[in-house]
Amino acid sequence: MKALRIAESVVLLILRLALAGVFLWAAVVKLGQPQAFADSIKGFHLLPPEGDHLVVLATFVVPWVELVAGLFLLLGVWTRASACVILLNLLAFIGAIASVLARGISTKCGCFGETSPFCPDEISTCNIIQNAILGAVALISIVRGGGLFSIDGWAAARRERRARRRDPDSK
Amino acid sequence: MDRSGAAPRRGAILPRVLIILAIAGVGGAAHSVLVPVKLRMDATETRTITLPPQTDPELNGDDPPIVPDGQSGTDPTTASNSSSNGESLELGQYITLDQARTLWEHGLAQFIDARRADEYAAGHIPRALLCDPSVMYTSPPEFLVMGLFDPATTTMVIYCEGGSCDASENVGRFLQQAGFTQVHIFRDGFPAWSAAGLPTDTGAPTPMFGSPGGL
Repeated sequence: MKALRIAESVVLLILRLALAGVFLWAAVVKLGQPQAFADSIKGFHLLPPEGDHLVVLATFVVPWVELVAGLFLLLGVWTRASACVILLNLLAFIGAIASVLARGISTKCGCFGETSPFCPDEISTCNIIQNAILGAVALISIVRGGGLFSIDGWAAARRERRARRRDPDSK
Repeated sequence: MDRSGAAPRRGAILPRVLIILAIAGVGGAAHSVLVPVKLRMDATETRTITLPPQTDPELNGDDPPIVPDGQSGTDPTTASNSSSNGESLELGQYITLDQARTLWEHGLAQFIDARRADEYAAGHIPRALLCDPSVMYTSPPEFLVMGLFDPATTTMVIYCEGGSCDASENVGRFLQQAGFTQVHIFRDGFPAWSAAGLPTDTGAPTPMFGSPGGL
């Protein structure tokens, strides 16, 4: 049973690091090229010209959400909550991309700045599939947590040990 | 507790989600104040305009009048429906010197000069109207206040001093906010126009009413 738990934690660790890595990378690229990301958001035509201040805000808030949630996820702190934030982020991206596709707008995603390794061309269903896969990984982290190899896991094990010391009879 | 040993109470997730979003929101908002981002105007869709028969004002010796509400030559839709010489022009958001020249020669677009009034007075494209970006919000240009052009049908071509032409971008966004949908930027601007030996005018803008260049 313990071996199974360790194996599951290893899988969770790999998935968590992969998801955190993707989001941290995306955040760093966007924050490094805010102008390019602002242009990408403008290209989505989600807001009328009067909403330009919201575009500027989104240019920085979106990568900051990715950065903070990515860091929490990387460390395994508040794993479920940070995975939840990432899932919400991905759902918003999927909605925006679907809206662009429905309106027949041809534009680049800007998800990873100028470089888009997974879906390099103009926005297409590829971007939705990419985000759905990342969303599935986030969902696994929400359901199963960070596993043993996370700060959450370490803190939970510590609490468990303390509780056992206080009450040796309890399981 | 979850077997993976990492589960908070279910009720603890929502506050944590809100805390993460709050940290990111504050960080992002502060960052947006510290780092300036210049938004370009919304991309104007690429359009193909069929050219009407030549109406070169230089050949005719007459300036085509500026017609309000895009009811004649300034309306590309009208142009494409009229008898044409078969040539067409594909216009993207940014247009070249040749495209600007063709539009000007056929009277298919209203040119907007996005420079200061003194630069306009020193030399500008004939029939261009001044829209100084430094005062356009406080003192909107007369053509806008008087509603001279139909925003839905008038093709606007904006130029400035060339280069990155930020002034043109700003005026373009301003016109888009005013409802104009066919806004193009002639990026090389007045320097390229005059260097190509194309016609230029000098003199301050003629006020339609009030002070020159604005209200």
